[in-house]
Parts: sequence; C-alpha cells; structure tokens
Amino acid sequence: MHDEHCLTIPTAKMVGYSTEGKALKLEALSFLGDIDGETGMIISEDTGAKNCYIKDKILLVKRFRGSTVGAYVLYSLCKNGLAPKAIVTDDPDPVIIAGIVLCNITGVFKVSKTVIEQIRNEDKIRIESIENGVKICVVKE
Amino acid sequence: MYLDKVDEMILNGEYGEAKRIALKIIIGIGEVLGAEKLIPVSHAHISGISYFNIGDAGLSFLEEMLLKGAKANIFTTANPFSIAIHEDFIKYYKSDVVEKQRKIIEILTKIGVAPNSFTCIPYKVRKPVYGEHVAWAESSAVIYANSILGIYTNRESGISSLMASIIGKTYYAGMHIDENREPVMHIIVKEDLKTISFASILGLYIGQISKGVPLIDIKIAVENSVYRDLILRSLLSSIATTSDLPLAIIKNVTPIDRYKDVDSLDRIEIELKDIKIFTEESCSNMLFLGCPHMTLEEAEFILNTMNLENIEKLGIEKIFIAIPFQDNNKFSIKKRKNIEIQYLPGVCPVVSDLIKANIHSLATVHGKALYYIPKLARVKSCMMNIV
Repeated sequence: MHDEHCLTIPTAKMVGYSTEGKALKLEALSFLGDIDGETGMIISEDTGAKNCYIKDKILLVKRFRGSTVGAYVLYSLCKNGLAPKAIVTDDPDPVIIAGIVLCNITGVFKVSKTVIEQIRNEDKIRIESIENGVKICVVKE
Repeated sequence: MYLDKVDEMILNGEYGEAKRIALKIIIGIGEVLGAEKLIPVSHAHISGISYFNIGDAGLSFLEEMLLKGAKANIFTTANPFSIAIHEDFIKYYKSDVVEKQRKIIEILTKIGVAPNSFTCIPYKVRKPVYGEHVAWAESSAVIYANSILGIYTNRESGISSLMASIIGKTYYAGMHIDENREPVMHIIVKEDLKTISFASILGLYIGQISKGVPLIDIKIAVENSVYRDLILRSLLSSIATTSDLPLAIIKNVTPIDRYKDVDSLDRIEIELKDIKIFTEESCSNMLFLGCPHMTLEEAEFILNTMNLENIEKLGIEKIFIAIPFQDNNKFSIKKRKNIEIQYLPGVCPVVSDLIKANIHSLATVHGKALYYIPKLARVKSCMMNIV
C-alpha cells in the first residue's frame, strides 16, 4: 500500500528525467573538498551529513559553495558509479549544472529552503517534471 | 533559447563532435538559468588542471575531447597545476601520477591553452578591458573580475569554461546581465582593512553569512597600490571560498556607477570580535604565500614588507611562494635572513597531495589556502597574522 504526499513547485526548473530515491539533506556543499572522490562519502562536518554516502541518493542542498572544479568531481563520481540520482537546490549554480548536464543525472533548481525543510533524511522521494514546474512526492510504503 | 544558423549547424554535428558537445553543455546550463540567447566571449579561463583534483575520469574526458577535435576558439588561459611535476618535488610522486599531470598540461596546450598561462590570476597574463564579457572558471579570478576589473563573467566550472573556449560563446544569464549585479545586502565592517590575513578571515566570514551579492562598506587603510590589491584579492578569494558568490561590491572600489537604494537592503555590521580566529603561534616551520598567485614583483614587495626577524622567531624556516608560470626563471632571491625562499611557478600546493612530499603542515595568510589545505592537500593549516 502506497501513501504519498506531493508538493508542486511551479517556479522550479528541472533538467534530466523523472527519478526516485532516498533523500540526503545538506546544509552546504562543494563537490571539491567536501566529498571523498574515491568513495563518494561526505567528509566535511559543516555539511550536516558527514560520513554519509551520496551514491544513488537525492541530494537536497541548501547552498553550494567554493571551487569551480566541482563539476569535474561530480563527473568523476558518475564515471565511477558513485553519483547521486538527483540534486535538488534553490539557487542554480553554473558549476553544478555543468556536472549534472555532463553526467546526465537529474537536477531540480529554484526549490526553496522552506520546501526542503518539509523533507526528512532517508524519506523516499519521487521527482516528476509536470507541465508547470516540478512535483516532488514523499512516498510512504 | 535563440540560436543562430551556425549554432544549429554545430548542434547537428556539422562542425564536428567537440563543438557539438561544447554547445550542448553551454545550452543545457543556459536553459536552467533562463538564458534567451548566447553571447560571444573574448577570453576563457579553465580550472581543473591538477591531476589530484580531476583524477582519471577528468583526464579521460580531456583526452576524448581532444580526440573529438576540441580546439580553443578564443584566447584561453588555465589554472596552476599540482606540485607533482615541479623539479624539486617530482621525486616524491609515483611516475604514473607525474605522467598523468604532464598529460593534462599537454592536452590543454594542444587544445590551445596559452602555454605560459598556468596561473589563478589570468588578469596578469591578459588584462581584459572594462565591460568585456568572458567565461572564467576559478572562483577567486571570477570574483576579482566582476568586483575589481568591472568585467562580466559567471562563475563557470572547469568544464563549462573549456566548452566556452571551444565555441567562443556562453549563455546570456546571471552575471552577464546588469540587473543581476545589484547588491541584496549591506555589510558594514567596523574595522579598517590593513593586512592580508585580516582580509582573509573577514572574507571567509562574509562568504558564510552572505545571502546574495553584498555591498561591503569598509575602509582600506593602505596607500600602496600593490599591497592594496593583494589585500583585496585575499578578501575576495576568501569570500568565494565559503560561498558561491561571483561578485561582491566594495564601496568606492568596485567600478559601478549606481547602487539600488541602499537603505532598503538588509544591513549587517561586522566587528573584529565577530571574526578574530588568528593563531598566535605557527603550526608549521613553513609559510605558504600566493593563494591566489602573486606576481614576482608582488612577492618581492611582500618579502620586503614582512618583518622577517619576527617570522623567524615564530619558527618559520622556509617560505613557499606560488607565482604565475610566466614568471618562471626570473626570480633571484633564494634566502632572506635565515629563511629559505622557494618560488613555485605555475604550481598550486593547495591542490597537491603534500603528505607524499613530506610536508605535514603549512602556515599561511590566505583564507582560501587555510580552508582548502586540510581538505585537498590533507595537511594541517593555520593563519598567521604577519602581513
């Protein structure tokens, strides 16, 4: 029996395909420096998700920061099968979009911090592109 | 997005696979950012040069792009490389690491990166004119370009700046549009800016608290233009370390002729007590300068300005100074007082595995280095309040 709670975000922009996976929330993130490129494990304390692995997760990131090499790190993670399924954030950061486009994963932008607050770590979520915006559903099994 | 006939032909593969991929990536980013068109750019600056950062996947990507016919279509510069191919450090690294770092440089040079341009201060290789549109990666160069030089660039990634170089265009969005360059918050700093180390600590803090382009009201109490510029570079690169800001408007410094109504902006006052985190003792017998790079003239100015006797008393035995590759072989100073001076042309120790080179800690005056040395070079770092 599936029960789900969906949020429609008319302002959001999406690249890539509809997808689903478990949520991992991060306060801040730079792909260079905050993630171990060989394992995909988060290594920085102030991300709020130290020691978590990003593989197959849907990352909900409050803010990106730092290095412009981040796109290469995300690309390397993709090539090594360690990438997240999707990245959801508010401000579209050109560095992250480049990595997403090259990796062919899903990116959702212009999702406010208030929406991100409503999703909990490990929630199973589904992301769908709809006619006007993006729908994010929390799936309860 | 509006595309002209040539763009359409590029997307159809009529100008080769490298251009098709490059344009596809630029359009992909532009569409997310709401760009309605592409604009020509005159200078691309590429990041992601260290093998320690981009790894085998990054190297393969560059190799594939070269095989597919990638060629720079505009003047293109690149960031510094890792220490692994510096003549004094090469012995510490495995031959395959050295070879792969060399390969990255060789590929980029074949693509058309200016051979002597490896530095994180590309404006010292070619200074763009006010109002020019460019596609630069390297967060410290981007924020300096928009905030000090008055040129227009988004904070491009290592990949998108290479793609912009190949097609000579970028998406018209973000920082390329004047209305996106307005401040959204007003930061008043209650302490005068007099040193590089204070600028660094302040910049790291401003980056953390900024929620959009800040207007920074601060008195820079330094007359000398070389010193003043080094202070501004460390302030801005530190802001860009703890944020994704491509622009910070500094009152009476940033070449901008109008601001929005400042009174309507959120106002934050910063006092010294908010940010003071200097260490009084050094964590290392080695000091690192040049993050961002210093030109040779700037480095020599700093060596003449610092109180080296005092630095020696703090236990510093060696100073590393990272400088642009084009300044290679021009330096003469090897020792000052009892302190050994080692210049690192075209190199960035921060993006190098330093443990292998028997370096276990580095003191610095730069916020970006302080932040990234433990994360990337994996050794201890500390901030010294010395210049």
